[in-house]
Amino acid sequence: MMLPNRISAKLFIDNPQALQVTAFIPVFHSWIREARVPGVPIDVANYLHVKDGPGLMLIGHAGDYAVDFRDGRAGLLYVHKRDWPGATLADRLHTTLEGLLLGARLMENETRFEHAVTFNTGELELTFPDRLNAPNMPETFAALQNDVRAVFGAFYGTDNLDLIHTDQDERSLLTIAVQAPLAPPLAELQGQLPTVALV
Amino acid sequence: MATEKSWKNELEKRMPDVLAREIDVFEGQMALRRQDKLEERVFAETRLRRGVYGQRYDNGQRHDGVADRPLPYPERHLTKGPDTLWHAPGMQRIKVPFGGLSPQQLEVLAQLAEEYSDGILHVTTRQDIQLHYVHIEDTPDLMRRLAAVGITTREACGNSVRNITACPLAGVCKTESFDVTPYADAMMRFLLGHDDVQDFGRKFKIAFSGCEHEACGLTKMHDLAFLARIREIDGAQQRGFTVYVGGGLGPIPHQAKVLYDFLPEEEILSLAQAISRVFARHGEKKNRNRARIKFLVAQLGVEEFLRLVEEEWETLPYDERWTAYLGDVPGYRETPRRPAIALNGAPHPAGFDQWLNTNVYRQRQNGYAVATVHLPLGDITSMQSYALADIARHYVGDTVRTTVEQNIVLRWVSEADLPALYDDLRAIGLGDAGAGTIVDITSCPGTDTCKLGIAASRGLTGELRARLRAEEASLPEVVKELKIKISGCFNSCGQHHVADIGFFGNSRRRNNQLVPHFQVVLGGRWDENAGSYGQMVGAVPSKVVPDVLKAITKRFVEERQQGESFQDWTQRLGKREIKALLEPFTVVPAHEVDPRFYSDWGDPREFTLGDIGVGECAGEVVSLFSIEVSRAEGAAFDALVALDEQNLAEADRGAYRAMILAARALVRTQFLDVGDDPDRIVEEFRTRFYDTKLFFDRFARGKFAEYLFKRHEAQPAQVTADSVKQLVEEAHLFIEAAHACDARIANVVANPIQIS
Ligand code: SF4
Repeated sequence: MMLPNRISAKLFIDNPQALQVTAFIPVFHSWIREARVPGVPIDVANYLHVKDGPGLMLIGHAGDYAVDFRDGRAGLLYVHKRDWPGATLADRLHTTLEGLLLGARLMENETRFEHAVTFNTGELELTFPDRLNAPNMPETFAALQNDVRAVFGAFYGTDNLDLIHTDQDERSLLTIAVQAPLAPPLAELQGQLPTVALV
Repeated sequence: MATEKSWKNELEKRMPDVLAREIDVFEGQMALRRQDKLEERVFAETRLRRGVYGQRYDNGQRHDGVADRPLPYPERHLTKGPDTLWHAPGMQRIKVPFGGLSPQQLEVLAQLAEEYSDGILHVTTRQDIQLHYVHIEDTPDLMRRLAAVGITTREACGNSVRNITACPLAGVCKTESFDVTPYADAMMRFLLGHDDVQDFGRKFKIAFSGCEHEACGLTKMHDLAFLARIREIDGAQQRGFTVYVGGGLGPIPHQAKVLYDFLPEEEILSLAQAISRVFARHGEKKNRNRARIKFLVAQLGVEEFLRLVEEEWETLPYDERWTAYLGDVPGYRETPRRPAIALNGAPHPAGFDQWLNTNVYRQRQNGYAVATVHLPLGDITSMQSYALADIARHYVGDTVRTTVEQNIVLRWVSEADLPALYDDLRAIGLGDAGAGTIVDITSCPGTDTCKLGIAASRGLTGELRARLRAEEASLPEVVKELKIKISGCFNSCGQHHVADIGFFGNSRRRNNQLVPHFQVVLGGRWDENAGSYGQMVGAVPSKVVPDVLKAITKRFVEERQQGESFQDWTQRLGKREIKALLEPFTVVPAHEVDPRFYSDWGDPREFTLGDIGVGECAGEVVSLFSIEVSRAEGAAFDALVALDEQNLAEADRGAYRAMILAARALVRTQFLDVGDDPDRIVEEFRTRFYDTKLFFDRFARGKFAEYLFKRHEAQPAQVTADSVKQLVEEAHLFIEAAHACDARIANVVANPIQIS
């Protein structure tokens, strides 16, 4: 089975109209200073000047966070990009989700924003920035589907999930939309994850 | 169990053998370095020659706004160069000769950005593409995937021939002598990995330009440059080039000198080889700060340099590639994708006319145009790149080029397609008008990612761009036409010297805190191939730069005479008036009055490196150094004025005096009774600041002190405009270095505990 070496997950923001992205700049800096996120956070990169781009990023050694605008949809994205030798696909998905949920909870609880940020937890977008092991083809989607379904089934506590292979353009990254019939609070979702060691 | 796949295996048949082998060798060197079997300095140069560059914080330390802290990378003992941690992300520079890209190459670049970088392609001022935050262990595969589409990163950095640039309009320009593209391509192929370009003391930049009066290839600011010419001999037209040598920006900018008025086309490759040999043999190797060829040309004089080159040229063993590589020239042409049809009078989309006005150049070939895709800060996302590749395939085919103004051009657009092209670009956020105008600001990476950056050039660019965009409609035409270029430090990667209004980052200390500043550089000339360099007129706090820009442009509009250029206006206004204009902006409020001054654009961290006890010190206390160094700044300014007035002897004396005063300012922080005797000041400065290395910059080492020593030891027998201009520049840099030294010392004193 293919093991993608980089996986990203994105949660969409419920209230994008209330988003003041520049307010995240000092917040991301404080995440670095106060070591709020694992994986050696390094610096903040600002790409708000490009349309539908990675927006504002917290670059790290093992993973990056982004207040991301790809496809015109605002969300928090976490990409885990290295340091998981020996991990199964389920481990890798769990690590990615743990990183994402940690960031999302920090954002929801952030008191420095004028308007609180909330997430639509019923939908999640997975991408696999590893074309060698996860090329964007129906076969790859088919091969990954069962593992993804198992991980997200346990995560949402339901088998009633839609997994959609959203972008069929071969040049693009393999992207899977995971849609659940319910949108549990972040804390509850966090509790569903097995304990994994975030690096 | 999955079979282990690898890009090496997947792409084996698609990579040129030579590139595949080189990448394998590099991967082998990485393995050796990991095992500590390859010395880190050697590996660093190897890595640089593959375009694998360092990035800010790669020494594993970062100031987080409160304190310097180590970044807890794994395997911190492992390095990829002196003071450069293995796991710290770096920058991958990718050479794009003359900026030429195919849609397929653009797509691969976008894929690499998505997988190994941050999803952004950054176009540089040398038509390269840069990817940031790349882990070194991803670079061999990244290179393989590039090699499979005919791109190499070889010699993208390091002491070698860098990307060869050329005018993005080459071949379609109305004023060019002929298309320089195939010559640039031949030069690139000939010199890439050539034995004679492996032993340079520093990098070597080459450019091609099609005509003299536009900006084109910026020939006058290059180490070696070729300007297309046609001459007639016995009624027959002969192609050739005016050859320039010894130009360059950086801390001490030099205008290139003409080596040959006319060199026949078939001789350019052999000449480049001969020049490379002379540079390798005679160029400075130990002191990298004087190792660019401009210093060699200046030191020898262009006549002697020419003599050495011709002597070398005579002895070169014949190489058939000198002419064979030019064999493609007669047949070189681009094929338009669509038929030439003039723009018709049908209704156009909203905003189209403005875009047409600023972003479209009518080609020499009737019915075709070049459309500039204006990239904010030189950035394009991977998603935009895919879409742009589709757009290029549809409208123009393979004729995409990057530009030194950090944009992308699509050539051979059928004019009738322009409205549809505009709509398509707008749909992906790339339809901004204003290319080549005041809103199209060039910027180097600065403190965002560059290890040498002092101030946030990109942060400032973003801020200025947003403000100028907001008021674009009401800007007078003469202001819209101005060019702004910004560098994060004096190294001038943002090419601030050749802008109407340039800025480069520096800093000043107020009480015990550093304040980000930008030096204002006015009156550079972009056209005429970087025709002249701007002059430094004073440093202002970073946070007031937008106001400074407003004040300068307002005054220009108010006082400009009919037809007067910005350069002429700054000349007419004179340094004193400009200084007076900037004076009100130089004031830095105390931290508790306005803390914004103490952080840079887009970065909320305190700029200062050592702010313990600020609250107690932040009164109106002005340090002895600040008072004394202001006298040095006054003398340097007077030298500039004297230079302007062609009073060379006075300018020379003033510049020297400025350095003496700045040295004295430092000495007096340790030894109040140093007195006024220059010999004593230099002696004390040498003992206290040079020998102790206190004055040493981490990267420039003792370079700036040597400016003082050189002038102090030998008064020039004869002062020339060039020599005085250089000394004045050196005096300014010496003062900058004195400020930096004072700040370093203050930081050590104020913040003796380093968290580690
Ligand atoms: S000008 Fe300075 S800050 Fe900018 S890229 Fe060059 S070295 Fe770095």
